[in-house]
Amino acid sequence: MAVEQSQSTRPQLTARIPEFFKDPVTIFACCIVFAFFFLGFFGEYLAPYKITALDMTHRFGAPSLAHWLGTDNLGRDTFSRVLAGTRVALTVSILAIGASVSCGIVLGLLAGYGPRWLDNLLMLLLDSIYSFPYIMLALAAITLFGSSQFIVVLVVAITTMPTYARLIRTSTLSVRNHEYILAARSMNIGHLQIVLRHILPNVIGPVFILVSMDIPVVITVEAALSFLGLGVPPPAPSWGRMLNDGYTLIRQTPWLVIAGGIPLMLTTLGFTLLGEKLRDVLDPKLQVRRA
Amino acid sequence: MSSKMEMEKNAPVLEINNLSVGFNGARGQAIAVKDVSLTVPPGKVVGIVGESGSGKTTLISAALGLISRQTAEITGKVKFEGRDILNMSERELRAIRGTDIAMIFQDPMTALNPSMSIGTLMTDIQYRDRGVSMTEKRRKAVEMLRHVGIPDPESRLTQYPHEFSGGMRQRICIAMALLGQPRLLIADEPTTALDVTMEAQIIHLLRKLQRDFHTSIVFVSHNLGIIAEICDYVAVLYAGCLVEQGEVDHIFHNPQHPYTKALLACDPALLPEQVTDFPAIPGEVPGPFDRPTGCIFQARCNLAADICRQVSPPLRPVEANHAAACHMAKGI
Amino acid sequence: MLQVKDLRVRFRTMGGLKALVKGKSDPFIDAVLNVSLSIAPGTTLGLVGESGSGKSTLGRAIMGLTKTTAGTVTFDGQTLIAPGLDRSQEIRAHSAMMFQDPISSLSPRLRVRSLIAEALKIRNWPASKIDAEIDRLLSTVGLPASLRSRYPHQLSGGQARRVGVARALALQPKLIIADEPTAGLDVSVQGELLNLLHRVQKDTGCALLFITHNLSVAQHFCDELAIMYLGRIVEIGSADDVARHAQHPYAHGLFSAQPYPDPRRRRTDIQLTGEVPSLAQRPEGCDFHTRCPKAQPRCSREVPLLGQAVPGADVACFYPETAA
Repeated sequence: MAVEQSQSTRPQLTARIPEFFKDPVTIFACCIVFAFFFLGFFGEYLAPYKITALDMTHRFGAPSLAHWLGTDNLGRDTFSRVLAGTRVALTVSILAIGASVSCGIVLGLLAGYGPRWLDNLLMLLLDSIYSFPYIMLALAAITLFGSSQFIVVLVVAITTMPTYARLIRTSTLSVRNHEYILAARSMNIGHLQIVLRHILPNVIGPVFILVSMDIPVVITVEAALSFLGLGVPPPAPSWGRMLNDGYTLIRQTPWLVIAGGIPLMLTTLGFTLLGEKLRDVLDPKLQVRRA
Repeated sequence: MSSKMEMEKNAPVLEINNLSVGFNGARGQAIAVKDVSLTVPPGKVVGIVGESGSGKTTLISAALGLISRQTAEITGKVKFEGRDILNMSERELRAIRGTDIAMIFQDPMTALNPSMSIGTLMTDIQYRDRGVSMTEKRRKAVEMLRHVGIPDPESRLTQYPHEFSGGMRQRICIAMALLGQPRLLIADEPTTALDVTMEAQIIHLLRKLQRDFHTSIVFVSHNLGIIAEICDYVAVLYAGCLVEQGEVDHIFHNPQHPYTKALLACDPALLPEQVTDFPAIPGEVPGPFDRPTGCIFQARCNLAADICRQVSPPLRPVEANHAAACHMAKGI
Repeated sequence: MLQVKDLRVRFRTMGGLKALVKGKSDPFIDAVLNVSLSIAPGTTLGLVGESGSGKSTLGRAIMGLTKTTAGTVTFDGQTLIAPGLDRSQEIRAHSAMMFQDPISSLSPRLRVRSLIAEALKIRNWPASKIDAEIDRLLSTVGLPASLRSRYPHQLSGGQARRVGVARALALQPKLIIADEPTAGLDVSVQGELLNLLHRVQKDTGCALLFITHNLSVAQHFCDELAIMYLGRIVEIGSADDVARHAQHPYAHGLFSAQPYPDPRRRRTDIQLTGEVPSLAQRPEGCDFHTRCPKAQPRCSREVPLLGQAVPGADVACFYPETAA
């Protein structure tokens, strides 16, 4: 299914790729995003120190040649932890977004194309989830199941899913009234075929934009949960936890907060810029204006 | 004063001279209108006929100063009652539009603000009459609505555009256009969105109003039947070029340009009873980027000769009040 | 080929609860009301009416795309749609539909090749022969094979319509329902499409239901014409008879309202004033009596039925214009 999607969007994309990469902001955003993925996969191996290597003699060490970003309260190398933290951010965001996008698409298509009662039922469900604050959900889940990376992914996936479902549902509702759907029905094409071949390719575009906009949000949410001690449990290096470790001692050791904050900020910036550029390129309305 | 009015009586209301409009885009300049000259005499209806892509909407938009010079290259002259429109400031243009020149559009739904009642719309449009009281404005609105055939106008002032049918909305648009007592009314395909019976009624109404108010009308349409119904003069537009113009009777009974002839032949209303083969003009209109040298119609013309491929034919008179841009047409 | 008897399509205008609150006993409108017609193989029936006359709804109801409330549809001798019976799949399996907006009736993310292949696959065309068949179909409708890899938005209006015809042909239909196939098309290219449809019909011998609001096209293109008003057929007959000697005052007014491209023959009067009433406020008696110039007291009490109002005449009027 994923292959079919990318195929169907390719022609419009290929036509606009040169234009896409002309903008220096886009190149900057792409570099950040690429670096994020690269460090997510290989950061741990590039780190100069083992992330769990304690060095009680060098607690709260200032940045030096040996420790570029200093050391934390347990004497661990902050730079290595920042690099390794990328993996946590990447895993959580990819898993959570992946789960929420796939659930969202299925539910959105069902609500948009299915019978009216199903639509009403699903919307009621989605709206209830939507109105539920994720912190509360996280607290409840952690009290019940204890804190783990899986719980973080689950909480994030459940809370972001309604956005995707509603996006897909709205576009599906408008697409299903197009004449080509009627044309397909008049040819005796089955409902599943109609949904997969004629509706999905036409409603999927905005999801890509939303995903690139949502990844930084998820990373921030993960950081926030970890900051509150509800997220990824130690000793896994999370940017949010590093912020938490650093902020109480912000006057003495500001590098801890900076080391946790800068990558968080850069990733957010990179994905947001990329998302906005993607929207410019993919949004049909803007295309019309340009033509 | 009176001698001045006497003079203005026969001067053209709108005079377009050698107007060209080109849009600058990534692929070069797209020529939408090329070298069009057109005169609208006072109290007459001038029809502009053209199919899709003929540039009729661009032509009238440019003539009203609605196209920004930043997006398009406009050359030529447009004069409204002797005043140069193309060099007017936005402020001067606004003062003319809506009062001296009014417009009605194809889609009467989008032309009316859906969140305002008809009464508000009709009184707001008289905002220029500062000294006039609200009751007087309402009275004028009611009178005009009655004039365009809205039954029971007093009670309908509080209703909103969506409560009216398409035909009624177009009547309201016409009433709003006429409130400023314009000397020129531009009608851009005003009946295209309407059914035949409603179309007939609107045409009938426009004809009656034109007589009552002595307004000049520029009537844009792709429908030859409608043009024949209402116009005094006709200009035929093809791919941005004026290929033929003249009195309506000449155009329909003695067409000289091959395109006009073919267009008339294609109209199903003029077909004989038994047809096995519907006439058509093969080929497609040249795009704005690939305009040929020579005659614009050469690729679809069955008379095209060498000269047509080299020299663009000028608009030449073929009889009194009738000119065609064709090398093959007999001049006088 | 196709026989429709007393077909009725009802739509609910508001929910049952809302209707109860508003005190409205009848929250339904009849978009199509007691319509009967038949089309023989190889012939064309033109369905003419203004917007809101129910002509498109009728076309969809015949294909089973809109639920019918009453009446039957008989296709190829078999009754496939009747109260409590929906075998419309079998109608769709032997029919094709063409739509008004050529580009929006083609799925925007599929190439011309896939659009036609889809139709061939649904008719179980052997996969190995699909490519050759696509080329054959494209050349039948007069399009170059190079268009195969285009997307719908890269086609001109005329080309998109031809692709629509090619796709309809790929379905090997016995019946084609064409819903406003020439709407929005310039007159200079409209003829080509009509000729193409004529040729297709001659070659395949299929029946054609031609839905249009363009009277002169209908008059010259169709063998028979049915004029619809507020969901009912008010007059049906051979195209020439209906167009030249319309007996129903509405049909008569409709044809006389048509602008004629001759400045020497301008209309000086209009026969039809007012506008089509809303379906929710269907007049008592004859649907048309509120606008009819010849309305009599009887017209506001009784409903004139096609073939019964005046025995032997296919016109739903008590006082038809006398056939000249």
